[in-house]
Amino acid sequence: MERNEKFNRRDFLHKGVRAGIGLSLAGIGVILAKRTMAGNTVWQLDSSKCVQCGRCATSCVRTPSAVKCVHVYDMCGYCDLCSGYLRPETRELNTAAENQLCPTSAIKRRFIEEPFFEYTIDEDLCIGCGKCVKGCGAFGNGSMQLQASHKLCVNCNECSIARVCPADAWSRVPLSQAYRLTGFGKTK
Amino acid sequence: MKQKLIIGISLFLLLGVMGLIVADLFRIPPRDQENPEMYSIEKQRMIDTSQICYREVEQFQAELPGLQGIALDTGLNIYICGERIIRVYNRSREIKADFTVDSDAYCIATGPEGEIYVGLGDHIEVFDLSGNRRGKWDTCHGFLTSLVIIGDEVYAADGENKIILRYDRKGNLLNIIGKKDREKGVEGFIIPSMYFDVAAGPDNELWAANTGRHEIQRFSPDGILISFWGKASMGLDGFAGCCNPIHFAILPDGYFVTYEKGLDRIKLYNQAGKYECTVSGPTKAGDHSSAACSVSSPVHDLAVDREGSVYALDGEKSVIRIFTRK
Repeated sequence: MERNEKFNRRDFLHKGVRAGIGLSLAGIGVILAKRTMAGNTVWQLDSSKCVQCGRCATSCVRTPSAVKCVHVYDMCGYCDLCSGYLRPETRELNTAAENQLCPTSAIKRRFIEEPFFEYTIDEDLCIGCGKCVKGCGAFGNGSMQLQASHKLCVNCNECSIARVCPADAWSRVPLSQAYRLTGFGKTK
Repeated sequence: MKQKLIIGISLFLLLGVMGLIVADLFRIPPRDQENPEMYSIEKQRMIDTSQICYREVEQFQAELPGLQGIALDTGLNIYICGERIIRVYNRSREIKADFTVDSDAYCIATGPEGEIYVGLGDHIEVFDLSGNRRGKWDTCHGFLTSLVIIGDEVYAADGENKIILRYDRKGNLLNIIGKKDREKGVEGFIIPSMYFDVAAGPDNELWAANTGRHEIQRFSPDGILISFWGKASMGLDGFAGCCNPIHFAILPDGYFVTYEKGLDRIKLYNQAGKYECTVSGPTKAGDHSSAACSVSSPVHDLAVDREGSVYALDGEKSVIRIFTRK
């Protein structure tokens, strides 16, 4: 049997080792590049995917949660009967505690002019439960949305909320686009 | 003896702890418990089947993207509009006409001479059945959400500017209805979301849905508020949420058919605005189509015919659903 002189076992080993080292270096490069890139990314919630399950309030490593309600005023209808502020079967449209949907009274209602009211979120009181977001989305324009506040988020390597999110709404986003609010501008 | 006892008890305790650890390993995690604090309107959504006085007799697929408007003519041809397209079906549900327009069409109405009026965002265009453009009217700098033809006049609801524009059929603007004017005591329409519908009554009167007030209001051609009815309520007698009804139509006998977003229900009111019964709505849990995080309003427009049937345009499924009275 004739041996292949051009590609003997030694050459094979040499080339194999070189290829292995090359691939390892490339792999390390990719991993380092990813880690470098990860340094410029933060966890954020895609509000268009959010189903307001309540886990953002209970699964965050921060207490209270780093997830807060953000009000997109551009979309708000400034309604008297705000379904994000009032419980569904409320009879009186006022600020009485029993009428409020928010469990911590984090939403403040302020009269502007008949029949318009402005709703602001007290971030210190908001626990990120998403009840107001669900209420606003059920009837209104969806101007109330949940977002991770980057003043509070510690940007864990593995976000504990992302791990349990049923809608797969969490992902790492570039720091330059740290907030993922939706629906600016009104359309039919 | 004492030492043996201590060793025995220790072994027993050790085995007990080991048993607990093993049991914990194989324990089935408890199912997610219902959160009593969660926001839910399922109870309010459910409609008692005894309230439903219409039956769905037909459902046909339009297979067009982004359907937004539906209209009928006296021959019971069905006109629908959507993403840059207008389509007309005859009574046999065959396509009678099909043509494209320059931009997305949001509302449609038919004239007595077979002309088709289409609201294309900020202006109206007029077409014949072959798709030839007969007219393009001046821009309103707003967003047209509904059109209705009353006699020789065209009324266009502008959801962005919260006004109704009254044109003659040549496209000349005659006057504006509902413009806020404190000096004259005109409050203006309260339209929190971009839904603003107009319809014609059996006596050729103009009706408009003032959604933020939860009212349907009647106006004279020169814009004077004549009457209104409606109230806010999660119950069937009123309109739910911040701003409803988002669509309505008026039957030949003057009864009103209304559609509410959020609770996704079509209801019937008499001429005085008293709740009569329900045309369609969720009757069992999960009986709705929209995503949990968005407004549940699959019905994008309503129309009625001279025989009293109700046509609901389901824009999410591109389906036209037809209901007749039981």
